Amino acid sequence: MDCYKISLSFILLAAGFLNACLPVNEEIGKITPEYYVPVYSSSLQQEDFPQPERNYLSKEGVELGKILFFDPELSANGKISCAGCHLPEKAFSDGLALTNIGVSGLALHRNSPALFNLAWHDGLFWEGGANDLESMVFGPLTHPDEMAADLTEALQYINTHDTYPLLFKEAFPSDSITSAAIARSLAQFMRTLISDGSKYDQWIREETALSSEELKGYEVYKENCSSCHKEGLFTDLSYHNNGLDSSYPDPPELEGLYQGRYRITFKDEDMGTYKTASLRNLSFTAPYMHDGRFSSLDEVLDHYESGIKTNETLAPQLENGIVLSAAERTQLLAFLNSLNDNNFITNPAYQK
Amino acid sequence: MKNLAIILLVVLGFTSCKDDMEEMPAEIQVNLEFSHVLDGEALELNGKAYTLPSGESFTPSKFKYYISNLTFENSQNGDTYTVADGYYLIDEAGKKEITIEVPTATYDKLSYYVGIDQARNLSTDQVGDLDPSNDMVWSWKTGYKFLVLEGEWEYENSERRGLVMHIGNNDPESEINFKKFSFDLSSVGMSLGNKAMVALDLEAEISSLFTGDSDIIVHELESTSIMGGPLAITVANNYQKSLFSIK
Repeated sequence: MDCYKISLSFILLAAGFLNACLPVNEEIGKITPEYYVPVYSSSLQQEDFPQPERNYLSKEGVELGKILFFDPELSANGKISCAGCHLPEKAFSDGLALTNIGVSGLALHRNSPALFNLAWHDGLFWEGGANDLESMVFGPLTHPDEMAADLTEALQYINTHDTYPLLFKEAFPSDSITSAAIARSLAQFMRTLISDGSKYDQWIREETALSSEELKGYEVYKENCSSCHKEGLFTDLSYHNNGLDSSYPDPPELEGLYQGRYRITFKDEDMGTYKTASLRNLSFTAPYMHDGRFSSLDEVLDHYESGIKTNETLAPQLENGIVLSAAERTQLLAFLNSLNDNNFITNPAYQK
Repeated sequence: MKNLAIILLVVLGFTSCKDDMEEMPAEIQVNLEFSHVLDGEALELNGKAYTLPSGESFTPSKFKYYISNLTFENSQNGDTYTVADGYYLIDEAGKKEITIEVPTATYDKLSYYVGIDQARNLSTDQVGDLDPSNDMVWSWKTGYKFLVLEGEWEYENSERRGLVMHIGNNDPESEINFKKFSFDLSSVGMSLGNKAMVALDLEAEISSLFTGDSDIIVHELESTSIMGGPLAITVANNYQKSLFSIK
């Protein structure tokens, strides 16, 4: 017994000694971020979860990205966070055609895009100009009409913050915090925004049934919409001219903004083309199109039926418009309604 | 006595040999100093008006560019040394000098590119001179501006107006505006290999953006905001011809 006591106290003493010798004890067991791959539904029809080698998702990185996403202090006036224009309850869009809540107060020229299932997008923004979420972040973060952040000042704010320095160290083991790390953590959070819980998804997984109206609408969708709004993500992630405009003015101060993807590629066939929007979560993401010009789905369907402006780069599928009977339109709208994902907009993992 | 002399000689011989080795370390330090002129006159920002090749007046406010893929070459034996991960932002309003270490050897040629190679131009979450805080990335498309010239131009007493030249990858799938510049070091008596420290003076003449392949006449441009497209290619082709000279 005595012997046991002595041994035990020796062990405790030794343990205490060892502990004191270790460099930064607050980090013990947390030196490596906890990497993981999120789970997603087969109904998205995606074989794998793409992420760049330099920025794998980690529990710490995503958590930090979420805090940054909701932090208005990153902006020049301390008032605009990413979530200011990307609201969780609107599937991370903002319900406005062209917002003017940015630092300059000037209206933007693009509708705030909804943010979900972005891991599978290989071009971000309406024209796909950003190659990945990491690089995309610097656009809205620094644009004078959006958050107008001075990256040097944003880093000063983060470096002198009560909790950010430790959170960054846990997510990105490094001695210094860089603007690249800000972008990477925000990108990680956005990559986890997965919407795959709609009635449609449950139907595909054979957990529920669609009504006969919705099923008829599904057939209307397959016949008329699915070539661009490809089933699964309900976008082909490609760029098309859907006949919104017949000319593309190029005022110098707007840097080719009315030219669609042409301003990225300078290819004639990309004039006036924009990324196909997903048909998921449409109830939360009005108004529609890259400039929010249509406030309702009926307006969108009216456009496809009789409003197409013919021009050189028009998507060939739209040459004759999409003419639906009144019954077909009702059926289609019923099916589109089954693509709304209430679980996504209320998921606590995505809330502030 | 004779033996002692031989020993001394040998010792001295070793010593001098050792001294030689100390004089030539394993690496040569090369300082590249960039200076900028317009129409042959030293560049000043935000004040002085210069004359463009077209005769138009131009008051520059920004001139900055990336230097990358610095390569030293020995044209006799074909040996080359390329500075790894070397991306340097040269800014009239900031850093205009870079120091690099090159393994000691004889080099008689230097080359570098203005801009960022495609491998490093596909994302912008990068650090050092490639940190987006350097105001050299576009906000709506991924990639670096290779060369930036901004200022105000005036023609025949017209109102002064802005000229913006942001030259980068014109097409994300090409390196069309990624331009190489080569210099013969021996012709200016700057061959490397026998000095531990070498300073190279490089002068950039901004007039070269406006003439060479195709003359740029600012008041005839459809848009004086050049951020890609055929005009950016024209400007890059222009400056490739004679932007830099080694002094």
